[in-house]
Amino acid sequence: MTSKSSFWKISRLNSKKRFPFFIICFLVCFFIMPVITYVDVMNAKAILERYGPIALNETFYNMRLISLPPFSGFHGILTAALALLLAITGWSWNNQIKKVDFYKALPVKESVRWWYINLNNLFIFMICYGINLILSNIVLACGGFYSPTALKVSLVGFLVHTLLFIAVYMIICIAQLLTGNFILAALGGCYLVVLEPLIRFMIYALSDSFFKTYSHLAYLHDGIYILEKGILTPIAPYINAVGYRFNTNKVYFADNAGLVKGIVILCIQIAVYGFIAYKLYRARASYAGNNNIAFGFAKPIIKCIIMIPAIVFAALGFHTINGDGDGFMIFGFISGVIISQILLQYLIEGDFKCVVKGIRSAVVSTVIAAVIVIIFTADVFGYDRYIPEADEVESFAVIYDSDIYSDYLEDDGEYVPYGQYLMNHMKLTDKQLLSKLTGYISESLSEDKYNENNYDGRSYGVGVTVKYETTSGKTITRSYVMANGRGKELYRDLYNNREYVDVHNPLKNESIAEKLSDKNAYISAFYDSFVDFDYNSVHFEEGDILPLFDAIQKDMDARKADDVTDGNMIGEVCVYIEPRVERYDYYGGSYSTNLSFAVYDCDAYMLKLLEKYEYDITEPNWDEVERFEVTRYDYDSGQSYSGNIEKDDPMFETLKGMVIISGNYGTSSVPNFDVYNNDLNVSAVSNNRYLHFYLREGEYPEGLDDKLKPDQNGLYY
Amino acid sequence: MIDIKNVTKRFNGYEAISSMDLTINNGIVYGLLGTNGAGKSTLLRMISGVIKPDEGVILVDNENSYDNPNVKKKLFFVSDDQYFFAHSTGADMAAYLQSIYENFDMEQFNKITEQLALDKDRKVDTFSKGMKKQMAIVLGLCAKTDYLLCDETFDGLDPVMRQAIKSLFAKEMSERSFAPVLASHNLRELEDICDTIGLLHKGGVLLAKDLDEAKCGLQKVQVVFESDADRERFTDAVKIVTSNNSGSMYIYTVSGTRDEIITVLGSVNTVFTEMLPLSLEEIFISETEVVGYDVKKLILED
Repeated sequence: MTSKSSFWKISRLNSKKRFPFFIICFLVCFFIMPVITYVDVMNAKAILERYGPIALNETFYNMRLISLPPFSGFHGILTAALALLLAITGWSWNNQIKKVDFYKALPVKESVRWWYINLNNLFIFMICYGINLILSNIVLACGGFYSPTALKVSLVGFLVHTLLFIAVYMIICIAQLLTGNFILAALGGCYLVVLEPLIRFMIYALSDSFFKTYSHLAYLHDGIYILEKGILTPIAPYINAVGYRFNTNKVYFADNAGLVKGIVILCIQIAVYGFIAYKLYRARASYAGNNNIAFGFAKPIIKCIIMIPAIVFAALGFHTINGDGDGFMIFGFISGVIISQILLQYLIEGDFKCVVKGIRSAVVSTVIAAVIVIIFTADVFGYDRYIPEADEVESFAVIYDSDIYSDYLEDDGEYVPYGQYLMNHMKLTDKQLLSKLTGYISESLSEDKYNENNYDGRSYGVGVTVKYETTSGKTITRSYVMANGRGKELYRDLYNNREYVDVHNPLKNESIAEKLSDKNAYISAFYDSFVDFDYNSVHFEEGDILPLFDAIQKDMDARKADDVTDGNMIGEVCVYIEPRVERYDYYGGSYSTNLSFAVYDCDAYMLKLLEKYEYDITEPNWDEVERFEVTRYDYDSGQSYSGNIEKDDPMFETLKGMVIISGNYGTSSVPNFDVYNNDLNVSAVSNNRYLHFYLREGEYPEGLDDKLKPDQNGLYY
Repeated sequence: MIDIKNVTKRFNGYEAISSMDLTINNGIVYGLLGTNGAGKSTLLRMISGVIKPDEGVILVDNENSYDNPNVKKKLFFVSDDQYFFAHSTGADMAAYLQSIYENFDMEQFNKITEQLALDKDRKVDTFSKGMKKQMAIVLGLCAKTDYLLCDETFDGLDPVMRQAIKSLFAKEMSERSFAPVLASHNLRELEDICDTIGLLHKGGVLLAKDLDEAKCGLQKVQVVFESDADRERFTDAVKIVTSNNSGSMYIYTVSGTRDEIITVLGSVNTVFTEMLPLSLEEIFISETEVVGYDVKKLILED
């Protein structure tokens, strides 16, 4: 029997034995691919019927196609699960001595056995996945949702998922060969697959917990993309290859660079992990299945790899539970050491008597974990003290916390937090501005206490995030809490910089300008007043849309820094752009674009335009106001007080006069540098609609305090 | 021929086989005897290529067996805990092995299973322990390999079955080059089957002996002497290995050929003499006593 014929013969025999797993894999793929596709096609057809015939073009088909389940990110999970199943079942015979005796005594070369088992498993995956992918495409075609793109997407998806399968499979094989039973192999394999993102998550959780200047935007960014970074595990290259994004839940293979890079990294991983797995297979002792861990040398390594993150996360967890308490953190750390030592020793040795063994690896893990925690808690590398020199900064971006809340359409059609958009697009280069910025930051770091209010004794701070692009190509992001006054000064300086103003202007965004000029697009706009109960009442007529953008642009050009920092934001213009071909998106997700433009009391062009609609945007209709609801939080005692001022109360007119004079409207869409802890919150109420104002401490009407009663729960909402 | 040359195997620092030298010739039934932990299973695993020696070399017909399919084709290993595929029948296993071993004789398999009343179409999971052993041996026999390595496989088989298996071995050996190697911790399990015994102890070979040869060199005799002087003349003339007496009846195990002993007995005055058959146990007791071991503790106490 030649080695070639031996290979095919033994391979055929193995395939027969693996047939039950083929059936399992096929059924799983069948229910996840063609069946769900069928359900989705039916839903899509129902929606098309409901909306009637529309102008279908290839773009529409492609969008439907890409949105349909055969190409969803869920396939990644399916692929990884099949890799886990096949790797564990394919190699678990190594855990039983009688099976090892049987198989290894057969006249089959070990290298041949390695290949036929792995290739059999790969073929099981490819056949199950491939057939069901074809079935899915047939379902799509029969449903009328097919285009040439479908074949391309199918083939690329097949390739990428096959590579993902092999990479995950090899990692699971490593875990299988390192351990002596399939439960540990499965747990270990899953742990190895997620180890790199887990370490990234640990670093960013530590940064978020202990670094005062750790950026919320960086947090958001890391939170979203943490799985997309890295080269050691298959998750990141796979996600990059398929162009998967968490906020779309789709795989669209749109990014060719990411696709090629992802494929290359996956191939390298397959080679490296395959080599390691093969070496482990050859080195593994026949009796290894008697032990939980097959290789003695691997025990301390495995223990450290698991124990270090376990201790750090235990410390972090207790630190967070107890409101950032150091005592609890130390308790968590010690608990982490003890519990992980006991559990890991038991898992590794399979014997509770061994829980006090492996002390050396426990000590090493504890020391490393302690060093990691200390690096972050004591800021050993000066993360929080970082202030760049002017000549090391290529460009920088400054984002206020008020910028981050709404989503915004990126150039690539993805919605991202507005702050993220600004970080991506703002590239300020004014060295003088940078110098002022670093000056403010330096003062803030030395004077402003974080999460406290000591700048002038009672003010809130303003959250500011700065992204530095250095000349050496690094991107460094830090967040600061600046006292109100300092934040306002910085905002003035920024607003006097044209680059800063322009990047905030949606009309200067090319992709949005393109959408606005699309004649097929449906555009609507309305004015939302912050100073009137009749908000949403002004819907601009179609003929006023272009004059509206003109007025917005002129007002933005005319605004001065002081107009924004000292003036009042009295409303916003909301614009809705909807490409007609996309309006039947049955996923409920929208391809439409929503824009928001702030309106200040200094915006003469806008005020002029609104005059046509006989709309008084400067003051509420006080006749409608039924009462004032007032709350005040006493910062010193922690007690809140509240009360209602009815229309027949003499205090009503006094309060009305004071809120009109103050002009302090409670808006949060722009940085608000005038809100203080002990401010009085006033809501004018009309038919369950509210307008919010605030009065600063010292501006309260006399006798108002007598009308407020302490809240029972003592909390201010 | 299986040639084990200076082989050492360690497990986690423990030396299971220690600088072992042993030769197993073709055409005989070789018994590997030793207590639990003596190294029998390790040795069989190394011969069959399941594990690799740390030191030394194991040659099967002058070729290394580890990861060598050409050599492994000549070997069939039946471990002490026989493995059959889940839910498989004897016929399934035979079909599988037929694909692996070119010379697997399916006809013989059908015939032997019928002779031994083993239902080849019944799931092996439902077999008794003894039946599984029989099935494993039959599969090994029908694989038509030159060497059949059985680890504790004969332990617990009833005498009828042992005799049947012995006959099968004898038939195979008469028809082709075939050498069963049987490992056991109990001498009594091997004595009626093996031609040669290797006694393993603490990872080494205490002794290896052809049984016929051993039997020729030792005789057991029961004798009543006319006088003490006759008895003394006899004991002076031969080498006594063991002696017992009940009244005037003496039973001796003595070194020497049968003729030599008869000649000596003829030269002294006796009332009664009888040459008794010598058990394997007695041979080993005598042999190992020479090297300072109490063989009863090693291989007879189960």
